[in-house]
Amino acid sequence: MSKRLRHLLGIAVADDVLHIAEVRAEGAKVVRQSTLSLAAELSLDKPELLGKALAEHLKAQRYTAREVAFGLSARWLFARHRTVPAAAEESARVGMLRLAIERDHAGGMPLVFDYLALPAANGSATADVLLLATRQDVLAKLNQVAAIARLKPVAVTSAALAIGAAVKPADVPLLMLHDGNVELATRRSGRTASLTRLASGTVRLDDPAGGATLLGAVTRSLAGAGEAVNGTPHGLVVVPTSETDPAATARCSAALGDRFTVTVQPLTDPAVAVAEYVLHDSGDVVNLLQSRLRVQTRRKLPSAYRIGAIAGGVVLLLVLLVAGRAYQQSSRLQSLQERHATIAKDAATLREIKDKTTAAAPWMTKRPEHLQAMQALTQCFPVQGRIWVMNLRIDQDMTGSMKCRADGKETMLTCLRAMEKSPDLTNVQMRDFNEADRAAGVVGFEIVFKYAPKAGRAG
Amino acid sequence: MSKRERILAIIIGGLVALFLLDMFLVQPTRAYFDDVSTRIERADEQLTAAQLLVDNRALIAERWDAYEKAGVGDSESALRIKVQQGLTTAARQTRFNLATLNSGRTSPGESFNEVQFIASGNGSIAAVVNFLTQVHSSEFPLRIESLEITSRSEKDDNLTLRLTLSTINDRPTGDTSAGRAGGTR
Repeated sequence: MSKRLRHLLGIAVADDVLHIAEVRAEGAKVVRQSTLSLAAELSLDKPELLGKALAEHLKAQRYTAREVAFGLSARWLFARHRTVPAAAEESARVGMLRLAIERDHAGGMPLVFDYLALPAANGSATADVLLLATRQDVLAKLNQVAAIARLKPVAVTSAALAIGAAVKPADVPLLMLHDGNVELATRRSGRTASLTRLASGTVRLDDPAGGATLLGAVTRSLAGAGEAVNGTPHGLVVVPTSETDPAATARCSAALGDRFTVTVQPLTDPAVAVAEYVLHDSGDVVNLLQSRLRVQTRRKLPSAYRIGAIAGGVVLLLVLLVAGRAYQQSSRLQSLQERHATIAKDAATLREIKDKTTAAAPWMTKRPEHLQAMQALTQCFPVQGRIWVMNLRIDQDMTGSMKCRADGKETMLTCLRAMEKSPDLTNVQMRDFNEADRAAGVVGFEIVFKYAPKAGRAG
Repeated sequence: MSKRERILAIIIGGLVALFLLDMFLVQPTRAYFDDVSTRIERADEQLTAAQLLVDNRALIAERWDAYEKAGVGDSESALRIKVQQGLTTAARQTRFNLATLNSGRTSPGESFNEVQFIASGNGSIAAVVNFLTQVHSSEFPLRIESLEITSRSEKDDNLTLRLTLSTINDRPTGDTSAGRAGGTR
């Protein structure tokens, strides 16, 4: 069991009854126990109905444990005896058993196996193993019952194995009586070595004549399991697991007493035995839910813990990345500020000087802009005709006005067009025009302009 | 809770968690990084500009020294005398008849005191051009604010020139005597 349980519900599934017990792990204290008789319509073949009935029963009896271990009677189990090399390691033993199962059961009904290793005899090169199996659909039905009853199944095992582990002496065969059903288990050092269901049709405890039949069945089963019955009296423990008729128990003991030394155990609740068997798991509990023989496949979905760990790792990585970047940027900013601080004073002084130098530059330039403007203007005067400047004004922003006279309109227009086409003059506009000397054809005019030499043309 | 309700609850819970994560973690973190990036950019620009100035220290100092020697570093009175003497000399050398040279108002600028002069005179076209050339190439700080040339007649080679000039000095005097006039010739 990977998780340590504090409370466990044990449910022993018999033919017509469910034995239920809630056991506290600490001190193995039985908190509650009860039985749920299965009416005719209730059986494991109808898991929905059984699940609902179980849920109602658990609620009515105020069971609180949610984890459940099912103990199956021999009716739903197959038990086989196998021999493996005693020196084989656990993994090798599992591999051999898997191969044996595959060979023996290939093509058969789908079964789920687990095994119980038996102690090897001193000096023996082989060791015995009890293979236990149940049908997959039985497990599915148990899971369905548990889900409907809001229980979490943690183990599915054999009720007989659980009882066998609890009853002393540990090497004597057990005969478990439950109403009309009888199960026989041989044991070695408290471990069940074989499990046989003595068919209820042939062994009738309520029939006075059934004693002889029982004796024969027990003797054959023990012989089949390798237990020598002839000769010295053989011990046998009779365990009533339900309110078996005391007379039937007595008849059974009497019938077997000729050949066996019979010890009758007090009434044993198989549900309690199952719960205690699973709670005291020492690593070798037969659990068909978590079979050691199942081929381990990767889970399709990681567990919640794994998802949490991955998410935590991703978050941690992101936090580290963000923190790293923040530290890097902070360091860079600090470095820049420190480097700037070392030269800031010098830089401020130099900037002040540079700003003053820039501001003083217009007074220090040697470029004869006004003369260049005058040259640009005179280049616009026509070759043909006469034109002379009466007044020329140029301001600091190189805008200006030119008052001229010309010997005719054509000369004036030629000058105007030339100024408009000049690459160095912009905003050329005629402001004033008059006929200064009509008789001589002399005209006066004023043109405004802005001298804006193209880059590279100015001196 | 049914499976469907559980899925809906998980989706809604996830969306609310994402919203809260964005509001309280992602956006503040982005704002922080944006702010730091802006500060780094600004600090980098400041450092580059400062480093450029320091690297060009010699050039800047050399240029400013030249300006100071030219007269920017002179006192206002010394500069007035320098300009007046310079213009008078230029007029004499170019045969330009400098009739008046008035020292005009002093106005405090952002970096310098600006002193204005108004010069007028007459001469031939060649004299005017040469005089202007001398003005432009003067060694002391001088700028033509406005220029006006007037011709009396077409045939007469006698132009009248009126110049508004200005000079600057780097000696704040605290004296903003606007309109103070000095006179000369």
